[in-house]
Amino acid sequence: MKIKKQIAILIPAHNEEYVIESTIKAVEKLVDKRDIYIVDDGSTDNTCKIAKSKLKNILVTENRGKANAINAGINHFNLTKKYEFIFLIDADTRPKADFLEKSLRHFKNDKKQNIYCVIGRVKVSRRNWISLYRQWEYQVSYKIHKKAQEYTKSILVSPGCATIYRSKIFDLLKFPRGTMTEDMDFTFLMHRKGFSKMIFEKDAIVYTLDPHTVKDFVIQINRWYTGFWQVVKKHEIPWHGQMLDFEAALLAIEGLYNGILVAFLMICCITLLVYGNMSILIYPLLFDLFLFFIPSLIWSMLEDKNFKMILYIPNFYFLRLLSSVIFLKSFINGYLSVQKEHVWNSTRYQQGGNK
Amino acid sequence: MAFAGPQITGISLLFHILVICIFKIKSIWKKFIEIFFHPTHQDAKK
Repeated sequence: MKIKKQIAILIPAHNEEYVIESTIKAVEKLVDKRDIYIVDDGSTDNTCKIAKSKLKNILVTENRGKANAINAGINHFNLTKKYEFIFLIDADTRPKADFLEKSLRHFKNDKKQNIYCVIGRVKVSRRNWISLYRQWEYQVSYKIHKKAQEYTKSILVSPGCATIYRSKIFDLLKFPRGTMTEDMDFTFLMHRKGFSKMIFEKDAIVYTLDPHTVKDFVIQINRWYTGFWQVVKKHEIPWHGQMLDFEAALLAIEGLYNGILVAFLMICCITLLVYGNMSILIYPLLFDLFLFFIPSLIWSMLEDKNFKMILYIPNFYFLRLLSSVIFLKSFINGYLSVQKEHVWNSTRYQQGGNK
Repeated sequence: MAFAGPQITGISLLFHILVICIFKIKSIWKKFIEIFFHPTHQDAKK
């Protein structure tokens, strides 16, 4: 029997000419060049040319979306037969040099082989007020939400930019098409098929490019939230009695409640501005500020050792309100209307590599 | 994608902090039992 190599890195890419070279450089520090595979999903820029100048394992496919690119790459290169593990990353992602060491130890300690993926932690690589907000979100969402979800076997998403899979999972399941968030869709599918044992490793870190403008931020979260609702609908949350159903329903209901509340407060705000007394709005704001927002921000600053965040509290409130309204809007687009297929977001990588 | 929920501060945050606390206490308790009441430890005492 042929012995499998340990790990392959698979990078699906579409129009990534500004970032692909630095990503290749970063992953070359983790594995041998021969174990890096790129699927160029119909790029119209120089992505393919740059990738071919650096690596040999390049597959060019028609532009049919990320899920298709991942499945095609795994099949074409026969990765499940050659490797024990497959590390999927985005083309704008740079893993830290010790990412594999931190992640693979969980697989090594797993004698029963029932861990099917290890998820790393995402950090932002550049800093302005929008990416600082995102950094705060990442801190809270990974170190608290995802950690708790790991304990209760209800991790909602194994991010496409920071997850190592046991390769045999791809003999059993394929990345599903038909939603805008293929990684979340795949995670839900894993739960539904009984592969709920996923590990979150906080010390395995990848750096990603996050939005630097409000417009890019809106585009990104609109895609995430619409994808979330599509996946919720597709996997019939909350009717299957798994912890996943409870977890997804909790976040969905809380998000909807917040969206409705924000919309209501905005209407109230206009009315009260016209008719006088604003004090009625102060109490919910103070409640949120002192019970949730400030404590989580202080904790995040201490964890990240970046105290600039405190300067941007009003800006962060603006982004939070924006997020709540977009979540409400995406409920209509993603849950109540016809499903949309994921397409690569052509605005993701403009000059400078904004995601 | 790094989605954890639309509104990351709220009831879900409190719930998740509670879950982490429960599991941490559980793991400390397990270690405590292992150290003081583990059969091999008791054998060694005898």
